[in-house]
Amino acid sequence: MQNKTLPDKAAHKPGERAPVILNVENLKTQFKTNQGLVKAVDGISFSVHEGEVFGIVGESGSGKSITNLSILRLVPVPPGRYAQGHIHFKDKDLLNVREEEIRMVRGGSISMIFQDPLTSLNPLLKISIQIEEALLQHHKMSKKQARQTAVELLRAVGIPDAERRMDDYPHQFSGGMRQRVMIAMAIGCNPEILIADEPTTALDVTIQAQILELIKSLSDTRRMAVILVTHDLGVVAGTCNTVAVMYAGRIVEQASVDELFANPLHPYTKGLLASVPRIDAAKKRLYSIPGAPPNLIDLPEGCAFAPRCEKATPLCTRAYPPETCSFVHADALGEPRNPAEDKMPVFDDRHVVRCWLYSEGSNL
Amino acid sequence: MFARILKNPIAVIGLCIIVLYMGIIIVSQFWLPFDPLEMETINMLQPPSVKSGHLLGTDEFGRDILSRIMGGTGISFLIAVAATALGGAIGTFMGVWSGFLGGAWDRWIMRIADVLFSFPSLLLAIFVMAVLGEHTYNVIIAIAIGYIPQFARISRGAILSIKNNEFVRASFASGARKSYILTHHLLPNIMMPLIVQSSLSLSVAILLESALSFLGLGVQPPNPSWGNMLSSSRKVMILAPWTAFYPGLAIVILVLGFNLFGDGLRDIMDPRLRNIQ
Repeated sequence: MQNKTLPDKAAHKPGERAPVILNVENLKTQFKTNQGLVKAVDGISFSVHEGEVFGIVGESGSGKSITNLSILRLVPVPPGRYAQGHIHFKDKDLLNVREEEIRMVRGGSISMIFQDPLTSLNPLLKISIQIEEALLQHHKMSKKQARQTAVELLRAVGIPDAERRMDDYPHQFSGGMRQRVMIAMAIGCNPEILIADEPTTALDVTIQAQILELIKSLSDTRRMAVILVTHDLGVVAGTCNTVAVMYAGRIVEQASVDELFANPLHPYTKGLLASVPRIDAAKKRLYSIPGAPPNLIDLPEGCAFAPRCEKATPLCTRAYPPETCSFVHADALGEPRNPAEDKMPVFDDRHVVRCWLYSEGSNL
Repeated sequence: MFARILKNPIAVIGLCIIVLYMGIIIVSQFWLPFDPLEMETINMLQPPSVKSGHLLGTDEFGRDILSRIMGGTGISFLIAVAATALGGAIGTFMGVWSGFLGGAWDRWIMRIADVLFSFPSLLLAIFVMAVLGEHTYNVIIAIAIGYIPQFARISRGAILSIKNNEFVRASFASGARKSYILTHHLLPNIMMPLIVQSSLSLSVAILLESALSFLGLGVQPPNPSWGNMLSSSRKVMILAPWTAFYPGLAIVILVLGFNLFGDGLRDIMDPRLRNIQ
C-alpha cells in the first residue's frame, strides 16, 4: 500500500491539476414506495477528473449503484425521481437534457459495465452482433467496418483468437472472458468516462486481478476516467486514485487513496478499514462494525451512522454534520508531499469528511 | 430445433396430420372428385360407396361430401392461420409494450384485455360478426379479437420475466432505443411461449370457425365449409349419419393435429421437460 506507484500519464505533466470532466452536485435520487420515500441518494457531490480512477465504496444499499445509474439517467422513473441536483458533464446538465441527447451520451461518452457478466450479455445473440450494436448505435459505419473494429476491441481486451471467437455465443465464454467482452463493448466508442459497477464481484480472485489490471491500463492508455464501484477495499487500494465512502445515500468521507488509508477520519471509514483482513497482523478475530445499515425509509434527522458509532454524542442524533474539508498533502508515512515532485497528476487534494468529531460546531 | 421436433413422436404425429391437410388443400385447388356445388337430386343422401364414386356419400342436395370437405379445407385453414396471425400480432404488440413500459400504459392495456377475456371467445366472435356482418373475412377479425388478450397476457408475462435482466440494462446503458431493445433483445427471448400458443390457437380457431359457420355466421352456403355442412346435416342426421360424421371427423383430426403439434412443441421448448422420458 505505502509504496503504491502509479504509471506515468503522458497526457499530464506531473503534479499538474487534471481538468474536471464530471461534476455531480447535490444529487438526490429518491424512490416512492408503499412504505414511504426511500432516499437512495441523499445529496451527494463529487467531481471526476480526466484520467482519474474514482472509487466509490460502501455497503450494499448505500446508494453506490443508484448514483451511477443516475449519472446516465437509467433509474426507472417512476418509481424513481431525481429530486434535486445537477450532473455537469461537458457543458450539459445530464439531468436536464432531452432523452435523445442522454441516449447519445450513454455508451458514447459515458459507458457502463455491470456486476454480473453472466447475465449482461444476451444469450441468444452472437457476441459480434452485441459489440457491433454498441458501435453502430453511435457511429456511422458499415457493418464490415464495425466488425473490423469489434475484432480490434476484442484483441484490446485480451481475448485470444479474437476473429474466430467473434461468432461465438455468450455461453461459450467463461465469466472473466465475458466481462472482457463487456469491457470491449463499453470502450468501443472511446468513452471519456467508464462506470464500472462492481465489475469483479462475480469473478474469482485471480480473474478479478486481471480485469482490474485491464481497466486500469485502458484508463491509462485512453485517458479515460473510471468510476469504480466496489465494496472491496483491496480493490480500491490497488486501483483507485480517489475514494469516496458512502453510507446511507451520502458521501461520509472522500480523499485520495493514500490519504484515506493512511489517515481515515470518519468512524465508519475506520471501521471499514479495521474489518479488512491483514496479512501482517495476527488478529484472532476480525473487527466488524456493530449493527446493520439503516433502513433508507424515514432516515433519522442526524448522522445515519450515529446508532452504530462508538463515538456518537447526543448532537450526532440531532443534526447532520456539515462538510469538513482539509487540504492534506501527506502520504502514508506522514511526510509532507510536494505536488510538483509527484509522479501523478493531482486530481483532488481535498480530504472531505462529514462528522461532528471534526466540525467546529461540535461544541454546540 | 427441427431435429428435436423429429425426436418427439407427439409433435411428429401432429406435424404429419397438418402436412396431410395441407396436401389436401393443394390437391383441391386442381382436382376434386366431384364439383362440390353441383346438386344431383337423384343421388341425394347416398351412403358412402366405392361403386357410385361418392366415397363419403352425398348430402341432402346430392352433393359429394368428400368434395365438399376437401373444398372446405382451404377456407378453414386460411381463416385459422390468418386469425391467429392477426390476433397474435396485435396481442403480442400490445403485450410487449405493456410489459416493457409498465405504469399507466400497462394498467390500461391489461384492463382492456381483462374485459375482452371476460367474454367467452365464441360469444365475442358472434358479437363481432353481428357488428361487422356475415362475410368470410369478418370471421378472421372476429376470431382474432378473441386472441388479442391471450397473446397480450402471455407476451406481457414473458417480457416482465426478462426485462430486468442485466443485458437489457446494459443495452440501455449503451444508448440503444427502446424499440431497438424490444425488437432485438426482448422479442427473440420470448418467441418460445408465443410459438406454442400460436399452434394451440390454430386448433381453437378451426373450432371457432366451424362453430360460426354452423350458426350461419361464417362461410355462407352454398360455399362448402365444415361448419355449415354440419349445420345442414342436422335435419337429416338420423337418416344419413354420414352427412354429419365425416365433416365432424375432418374437424376433429385437424384440431387433434394442431393440439398434438402444440403439445409437442411445448415439451420440446420447456427445458425442464427436455430430458424426461
